[in-house]
Amino acid sequence: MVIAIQMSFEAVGVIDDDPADAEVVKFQIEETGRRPIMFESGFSSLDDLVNRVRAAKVNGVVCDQRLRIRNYAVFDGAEAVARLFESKIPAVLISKYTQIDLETSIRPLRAKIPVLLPKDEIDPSSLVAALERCESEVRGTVPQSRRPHRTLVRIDDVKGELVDAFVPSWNPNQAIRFPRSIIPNKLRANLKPDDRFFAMVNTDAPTADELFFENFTSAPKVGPEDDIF
Amino acid sequence: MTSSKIAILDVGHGNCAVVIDRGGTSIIDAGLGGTLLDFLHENKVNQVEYVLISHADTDHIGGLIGLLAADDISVREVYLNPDPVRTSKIWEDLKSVLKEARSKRGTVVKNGLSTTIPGEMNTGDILIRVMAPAPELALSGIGGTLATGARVSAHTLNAVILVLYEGTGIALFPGDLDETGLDELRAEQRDMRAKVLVFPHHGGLPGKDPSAFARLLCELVKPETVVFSIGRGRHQTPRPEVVSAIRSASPGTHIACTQLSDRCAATLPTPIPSHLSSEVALGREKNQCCAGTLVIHPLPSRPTRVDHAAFITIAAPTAVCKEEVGDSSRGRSAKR
Repeated sequence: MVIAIQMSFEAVGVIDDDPADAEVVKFQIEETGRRPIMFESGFSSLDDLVNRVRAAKVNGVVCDQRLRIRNYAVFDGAEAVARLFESKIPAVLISKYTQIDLETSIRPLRAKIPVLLPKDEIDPSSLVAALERCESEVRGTVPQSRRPHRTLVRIDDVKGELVDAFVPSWNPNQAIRFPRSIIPNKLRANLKPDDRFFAMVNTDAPTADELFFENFTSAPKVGPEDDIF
Repeated sequence: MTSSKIAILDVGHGNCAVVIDRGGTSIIDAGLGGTLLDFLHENKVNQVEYVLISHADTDHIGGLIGLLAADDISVREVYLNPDPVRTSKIWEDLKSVLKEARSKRGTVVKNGLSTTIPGEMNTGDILIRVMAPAPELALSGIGGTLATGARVSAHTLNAVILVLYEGTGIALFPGDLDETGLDELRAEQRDMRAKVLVFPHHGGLPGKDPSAFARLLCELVKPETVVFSIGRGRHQTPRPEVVSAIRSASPGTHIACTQLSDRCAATLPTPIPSHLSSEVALGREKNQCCAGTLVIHPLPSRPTRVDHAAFITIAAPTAVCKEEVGDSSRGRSAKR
């Protein structure tokens, strides 16, 4: 069945180091009536990626997250999608490891990843919707759920290179995990629970998976002397 | 000259209203997320005169933190009754953002929101009146016991705000007022009539008898429209027995949920609704709005009752607000 949905994508690039998974994505793209362009030989660098995607004249890209396993690339899919986003090329990030990688390699780049699609949710409709959303954002139309607002971030726990934190204006009762490397060097040296920062966060995100954090700065420290009345 | 308007924002499960008047902008509860900030930006509001926080649940304080952290919007005065969170980490969060807001933008927080603090605020053509709690009730404190024997909770002390335009009650915002608080308010015998009632608890349980609570509140307010500020898929609100009690007590009352309850429509409508106001609404992105953000001008309001009713007829085949009064089982069965 061909999904008759009008979209501007005639050719869609498929970037996946796993040939079997790439075939599945290829099939789903064909089901949308679009032409899949397979990138089977891998990439030597992010510049190589952008150059070859541009040369292939694809209108969008579907990219897997884990690309290093077979020496297919020296970067993760999150880095690839973010770089394509900067180059104004719509790209959807797909993964079988969404939750695991979100906390480490995806979250730092989430602001430049408009759509993160678990592989078990891929079908022609979801692919088309994801590509259209990426294209719209590349063109500058940012949906409400991805508009960042300056807000407070409270560190709850520090576990090695990972941090648990709360964003009270998003949900005061749900912690979010991200790598401490998101926070600038000079601010994270002695990171500890109850440290507070201001950051740009998309506080209308419906789920924690979609939250991103940018531009951390220190928030004022408070003590008993700082009664607010 | 700024034309007055009152916007009841679709912030999902939460409360937030903005009163824009020629004398300045006021906010009644701040909701969670960024919808309020988007609304203020789109309406070119960079100064807020008054923020009234009906009660200090963590989500209400969270929304206030989001507002105060925005460095492009100045807030002049904040009023709240802070008891439930005063020793919590979120209180420290609020102190942190306020420390910056006070030093950079001159924000002041006032401890208390009652019929005497500040009592009334005139913002031009609109008067904002605090209907409850009375000061003696506020002084009883959370955990106290009233002369009736009833225990005082944070929701008993919930501030009730009436917005009046040229002396007429336009909208009543009772926050999460509970049965005890409503009994105390009734005893005050104040005129609570308003055209629009934002129903407490998003249409959830206000106490032991939600139907009696709904009937009493409607008898006191006599609303033409009752708004449920809800998030689709969250907390199963509004409860069918609450909607039924409202429709029984106030026949002809228009029911308007900000988002489309999954009790009313298991699937979301495909076409983009045309009945909504143009203001920002959290549910718009995923087509989850029912009435969306409601904007009250002196006249007319958007969406109009006719437009909204037409939308429900098409998009909500099991709409709770259209059930036969007394039959609240259909929505629950459909959900199962």
